[in-house]
Amino acid sequence: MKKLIVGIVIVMMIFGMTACSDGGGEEGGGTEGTPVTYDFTASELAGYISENVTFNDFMEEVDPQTVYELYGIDGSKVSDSCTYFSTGATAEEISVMCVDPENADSMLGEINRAFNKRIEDQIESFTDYVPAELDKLSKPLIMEIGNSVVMVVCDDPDQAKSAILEYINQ
Amino acid sequence: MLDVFFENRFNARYIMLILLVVILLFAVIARYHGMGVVNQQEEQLPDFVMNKVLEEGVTKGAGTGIDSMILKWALAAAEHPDESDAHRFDSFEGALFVGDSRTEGMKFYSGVDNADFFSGKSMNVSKVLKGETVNVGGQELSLQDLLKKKTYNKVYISLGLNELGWTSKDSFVESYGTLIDQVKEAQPDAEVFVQLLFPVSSKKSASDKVFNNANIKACNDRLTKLAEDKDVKVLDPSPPLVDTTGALKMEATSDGVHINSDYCVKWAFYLARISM
Repeated sequence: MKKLIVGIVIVMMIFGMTACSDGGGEEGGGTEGTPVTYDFTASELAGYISENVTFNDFMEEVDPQTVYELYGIDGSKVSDSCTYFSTGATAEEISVMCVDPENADSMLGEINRAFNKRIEDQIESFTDYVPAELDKLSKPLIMEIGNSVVMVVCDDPDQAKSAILEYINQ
Repeated sequence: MLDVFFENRFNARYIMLILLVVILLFAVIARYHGMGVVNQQEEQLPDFVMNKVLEEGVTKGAGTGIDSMILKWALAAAEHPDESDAHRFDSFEGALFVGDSRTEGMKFYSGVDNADFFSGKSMNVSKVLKGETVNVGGQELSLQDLLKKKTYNKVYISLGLNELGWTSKDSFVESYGTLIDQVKEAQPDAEVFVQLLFPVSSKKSASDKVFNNANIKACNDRLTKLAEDKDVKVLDPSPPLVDTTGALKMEATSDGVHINSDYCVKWAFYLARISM
């Protein structure tokens, strides 16, 4: 009986660790036609971005369910996610959403659309509120990495892209 | 005769049991009539508050009323918020928060997950009255739609910051009053709270002609008077958020106006306790 329980726990741990770890991508240096495997969790990547990209505001993690509702994403089809918002003083934002390979075809597009819609909504909110933030919102970084989509709104999206590539290639 | 009676062990036990029940009954009656350890004033505190007051040892000096005790207890809780306490936001169950970007911060960072939030950046009373929609639980709804759709037992309104620059203060008060009326009409059983605006930082206050603490105080005075006229309660959320000068703590904010997650938690802890 003990062996059975240990076996179940090990299998669960193996499945639990696969979030964001599988998938093909163009940014990993893999040979053509060979899916590149990235090994990161959403919180690891989002945390790395928050620490290695310049933000003017406090960047703080938000409950995923709140984010799914706000972005209009079916959270049940997201395998792993991590999102940081600012205090409201700026439009700065980080979001990493990962899906299982079997959901990738439909969900990556849905997440991309949701991120773009979020940018549109933020532009509408900030136009009369803090117009200076529109510059950041005019150049959001939205990129797919394997079975994940990453969005970063900051002053320097090139810096954000470099940080992401540095992280996934390390 | 009595000797014979008590010699019977069954009868003795029976008498002891009756005595015990009588003592217990007396203790219960005494408790509810202010004769016990807990005096009548404290008795009116909810059990949850009372337990916390006793546990956390809030000073109960002479002349301190219930309100003062609750404020002290709430401030102590907000200064060292216990986020593992499953009951920390019980008083928000079935509540609705209506507010601007500051309230949105509370929605995102406080950990309050048993209430609804109708909030958005640059939200003001005029936009709310005109039926502006925001995302509430994944649906785009106006406040009017939301009030028709769900029943709330508490409604916390926190607006006024984005209206500080309005030229007509009377127009602001009138619109805010209309909003209170709409909420009361749609939710007759709900307790409506007007939250005063908490201050901005001293740096922001000194450098901004609109978003400064003199204007915030003037707005709060108007809101206090309005709440009195409309017979709704006023809540001042500022004690856990301000420094000794009464300005928003510098460590709490990046722009002098919005507060970070730590202070959103303090705000929610304090508010939950002063509105029980």
